[in-house]
Amino acid sequence: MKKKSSYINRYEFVSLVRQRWLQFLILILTALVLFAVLNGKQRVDQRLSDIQSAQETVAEKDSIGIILLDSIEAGFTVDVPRWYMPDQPNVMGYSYLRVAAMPPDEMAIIATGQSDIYTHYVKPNMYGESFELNYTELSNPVQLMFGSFDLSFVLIYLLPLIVIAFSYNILSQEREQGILQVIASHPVSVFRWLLQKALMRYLLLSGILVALLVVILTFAGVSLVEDFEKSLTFSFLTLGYLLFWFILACLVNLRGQSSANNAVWLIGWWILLVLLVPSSVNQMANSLYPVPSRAKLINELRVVNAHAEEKADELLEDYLRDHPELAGFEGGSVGWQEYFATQDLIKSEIQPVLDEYEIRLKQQQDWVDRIRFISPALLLQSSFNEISGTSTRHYEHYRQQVSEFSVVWRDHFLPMIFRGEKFTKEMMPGLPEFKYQHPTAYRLSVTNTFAVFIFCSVLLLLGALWSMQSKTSLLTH
Amino acid sequence: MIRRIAFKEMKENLYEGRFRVTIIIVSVLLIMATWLSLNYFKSVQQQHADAKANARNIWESQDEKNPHSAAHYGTYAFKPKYPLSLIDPGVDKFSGISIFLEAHKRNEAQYMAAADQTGLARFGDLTPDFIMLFIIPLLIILIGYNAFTREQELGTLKLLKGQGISSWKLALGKWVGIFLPVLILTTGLFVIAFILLVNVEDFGELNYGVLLLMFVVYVIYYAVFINITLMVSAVSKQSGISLVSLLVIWIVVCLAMPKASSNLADSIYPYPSRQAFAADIDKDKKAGLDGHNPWSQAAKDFERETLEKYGVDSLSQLPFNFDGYRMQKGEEHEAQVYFKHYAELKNTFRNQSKVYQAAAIASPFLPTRFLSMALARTDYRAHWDFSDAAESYRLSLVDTLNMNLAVNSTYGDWAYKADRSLWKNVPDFEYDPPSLGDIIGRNWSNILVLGLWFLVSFVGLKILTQRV
Amino acid sequence: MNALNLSVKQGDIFCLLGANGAGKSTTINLFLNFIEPTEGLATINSLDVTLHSKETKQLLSYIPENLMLYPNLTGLENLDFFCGLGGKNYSKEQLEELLKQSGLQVDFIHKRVSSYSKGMRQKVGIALASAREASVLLLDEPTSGLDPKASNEFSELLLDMKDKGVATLMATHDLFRAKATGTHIGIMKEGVLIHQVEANSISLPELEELYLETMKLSQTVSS
Repeated sequence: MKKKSSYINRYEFVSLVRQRWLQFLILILTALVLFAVLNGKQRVDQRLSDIQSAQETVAEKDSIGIILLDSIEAGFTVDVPRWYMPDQPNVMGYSYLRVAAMPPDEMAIIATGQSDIYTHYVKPNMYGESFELNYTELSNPVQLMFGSFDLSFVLIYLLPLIVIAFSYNILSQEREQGILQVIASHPVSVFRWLLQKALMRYLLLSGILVALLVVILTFAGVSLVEDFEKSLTFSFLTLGYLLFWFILACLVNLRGQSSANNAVWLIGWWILLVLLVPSSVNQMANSLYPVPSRAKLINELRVVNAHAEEKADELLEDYLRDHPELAGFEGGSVGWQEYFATQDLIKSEIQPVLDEYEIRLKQQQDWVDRIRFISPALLLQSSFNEISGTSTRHYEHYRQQVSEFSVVWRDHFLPMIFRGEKFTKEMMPGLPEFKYQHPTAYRLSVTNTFAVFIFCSVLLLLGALWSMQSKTSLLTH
Repeated sequence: MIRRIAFKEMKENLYEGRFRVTIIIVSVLLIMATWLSLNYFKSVQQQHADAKANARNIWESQDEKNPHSAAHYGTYAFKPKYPLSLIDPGVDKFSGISIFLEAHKRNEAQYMAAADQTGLARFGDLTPDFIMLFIIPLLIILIGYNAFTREQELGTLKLLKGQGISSWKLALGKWVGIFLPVLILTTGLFVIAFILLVNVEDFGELNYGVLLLMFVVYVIYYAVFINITLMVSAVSKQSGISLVSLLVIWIVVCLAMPKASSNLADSIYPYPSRQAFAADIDKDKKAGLDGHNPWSQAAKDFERETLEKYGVDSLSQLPFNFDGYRMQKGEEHEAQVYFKHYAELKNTFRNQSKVYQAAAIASPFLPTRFLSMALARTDYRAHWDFSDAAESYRLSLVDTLNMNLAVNSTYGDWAYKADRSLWKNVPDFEYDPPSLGDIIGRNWSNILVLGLWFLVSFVGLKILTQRV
Repeated sequence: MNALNLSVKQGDIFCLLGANGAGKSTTINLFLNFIEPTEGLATINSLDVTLHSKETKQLLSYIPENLMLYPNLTGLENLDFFCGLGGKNYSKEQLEELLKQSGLQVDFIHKRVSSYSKGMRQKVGIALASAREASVLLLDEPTSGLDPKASNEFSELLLDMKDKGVATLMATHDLFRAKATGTHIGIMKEGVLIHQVEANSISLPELEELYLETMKLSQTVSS
């Protein structure tokens, strides 16, 4: 004995095929996902090749340095000005730099996130402070404004619209055609029948989508098994989001209005949840935790600088008291010590001002994290950026690491400079290297996945309650 | 007859709850967006004024020092906030706010606002241009998607045609019926913006012609959308189909095309990475005269040439301090290197713009977006303009300082210190935004494409409504 | 609706007459549990339709004025689908046979319903009713808009069902059909069943007179 649900599934499927919905969905989703993945891949490849060529430049420069060092150590005179001589530790520390790169995560293709705003490698030198490094990428701001056509855009913005176009009349069409009454005269509940239909459509769309994502992402060279947990979270988030919009479409249909009205309502929800809520949350975060004026920072920095330079002599004494290991070497340069002492002071004076920016940004982020539950689009965006390794947090983490590395780099050369030692060829392999550490836990994502499904359950419950109340209005006019 | 149809349309809409609710929501959103923008605008304006005064103050209160040291010390140029950024902040959030002006280096504008915000900044802001560019077209679609299909479904179309009205007049009547409420909304917004701007203290120079032109651009944009909406409604068999088709058009035109064309522009004409750009400049700089390196081949050649030119044997016999002169020549070489590389970058930007212009043929959103920003002087061109102005100011500043060193000291005299009055005598950086004429000149293709959209869509409407 | 009291027994065809808005459709909707009675109850096989909605729907089959089917499915597929909803499974051959019995042209059985006329759809409805082995048939003006031949064929099918012991409640405007096919005839006005007669106890002219008189009846009857 076949079940009623199998009849509903079978003929829903046949209807969709005959109305060419299935073909349309496959076509449009393939086109969108393919284009988005290609764009993402191009961005990631560009990032990799930028880093690659920077590494090559460094290797090239290193090999020239080694040749020079060879000649110097062999006692030849080399035709290079004093400030380009690699046997000077300060020259090494200033111009034989390492690349502090942030290579893309395995799943970076998914979301552009902040990767178009920030740069992916810097070369910290021992003079400047890491806060002076410019981490923003050179780009056409129009592109930043429009944003990228990436997978995250397709899934967060376009997928709900496809669901809406697909199902805005999932019930109202039958109602308008008069088929609903015939169905309701059968021993089957209208709510259950609607759910079965929606489930069928949902499974169909999910199937197509997951198949496409797996095939196209694999084709683009993303290994989905590399970090299986991430891939799984990504899929669940997408499927949960899809489910959310399907349930919403059903709920709106249960209100018993015309198809056109349903479409208007659903579009209204889409605008609210995908466009208005995120931008309002962002603006509220900005006004609740305003970042101090950068224009003001510029001037403060100058004042601090001038102040530090005035006190340079006095500073040196303090500095040497703090760093006794650096004091009193014959042939060491007092000029250097003075310089670095000044730098230390500037850094310590400016640090609280700089921290203010980080703190405010962190407060904004925390607030946004707390409020993200009001729209599934927010949940998805934050998770996708996390999974891709392109979130604000990832770049903050990277800046932190670079800042630590630049201290390591400087401290590597300081004793040599102060002692007046020469840099030799043997020291070349011992230079500090920067190794980017991926942030370990990608928080939020699992919680977000649960949250999306909780959203769905609440809606479903609401729908069940509603359908009990409004059954009659659906069937009579 | 057209008027009668138009009034009928408006009355029908007015009786419909959906229309009233959406109009109210859009108005509330507009008011909210304007209010938020105004607050932001005021605070940024204040910050800018403070920072500008402060920077000048710091520059002027320098001690007596070598003028070239002062050139190294440098100063800052701050990008002004224009009054119409209240309506359309354009790319302001994604371009830096200030440029450090120093010897030897052309710096990029730094501190884009978006970098000081969370990832949500990428969803866009609730500003008037967002409502006007995205939401009002949607409103037009919601008002007009069933303009013809409803009459067809109810059978009133036959009744109307039975009264002997021509299809074209019917279409025009409906057109006016949708256009009027939208026009009232838009006019309201611009009038409010105008009043607010006039009342903001120190709102800078507001060119009323520009405001009016911006208004016209938006009105044409809406007219195009009304044409598209009516065309689709005329050829659709059912209201539902008409609505869904129009929504698809909206998504493609307003969301997908801008993003897709960005990706295309970036892949055809990629920008160099910041590091690579800087490395290329460095390489070219090293190939020429370095003002601080008297030992390089280029410096030696320059020394010989100078001696020959003045017919003297040694540098100390020159009537000026050769060090200062070499600094300046080095600066000029560097300026040329920068000029070359920035010209290349600008060329890439122009090519990218061409991609957008080509895409504008498929999306009336794009020319409107670009024109609106251009008129508000918040587009990328305006940013380039500012950056170029800052560069030419930097060159003249460094030139003044180097030549002061060259003229007032002798060769080898590194102890020379310029008087503090010199800092005051250097003019402050003043920047005038591009004039309206310039803006129109640079954007003729956007104007053309938008105009074309307007005409073609009207012709299309006439042809397609013939069949109704 | 007011104090409506009617019952239809097995093998009866009860025809409800009355003007538009007299409450004929409401009566049928009551049995379908599309609306709930404020007072009293509607029962099928002594089961209250509001309390045992699923069970009673198992027993009935409904054909509205204009039976709508899925336009993208064929007649056979529609029949299969609705039988499935009614909990009946048939093979393809059985379904073809059912459609043939209800008089649908053979070459239309496998064509999409979008190409069907109204009469053809009503035939699918009858096929559905017999396939469902319904003991109660609820018909809401099933013959309005049909040409006389199609209408006649439909009546024949109804009589077949009657012979199988099906209880039929039919709302109609067609006095002639009501007299010809009905076993009982009721006349409704403003929600009240005013007359109830046996079909063979009254001639067609008498029925027409009774109907018109009822329609002229003053407002006082109701309330």
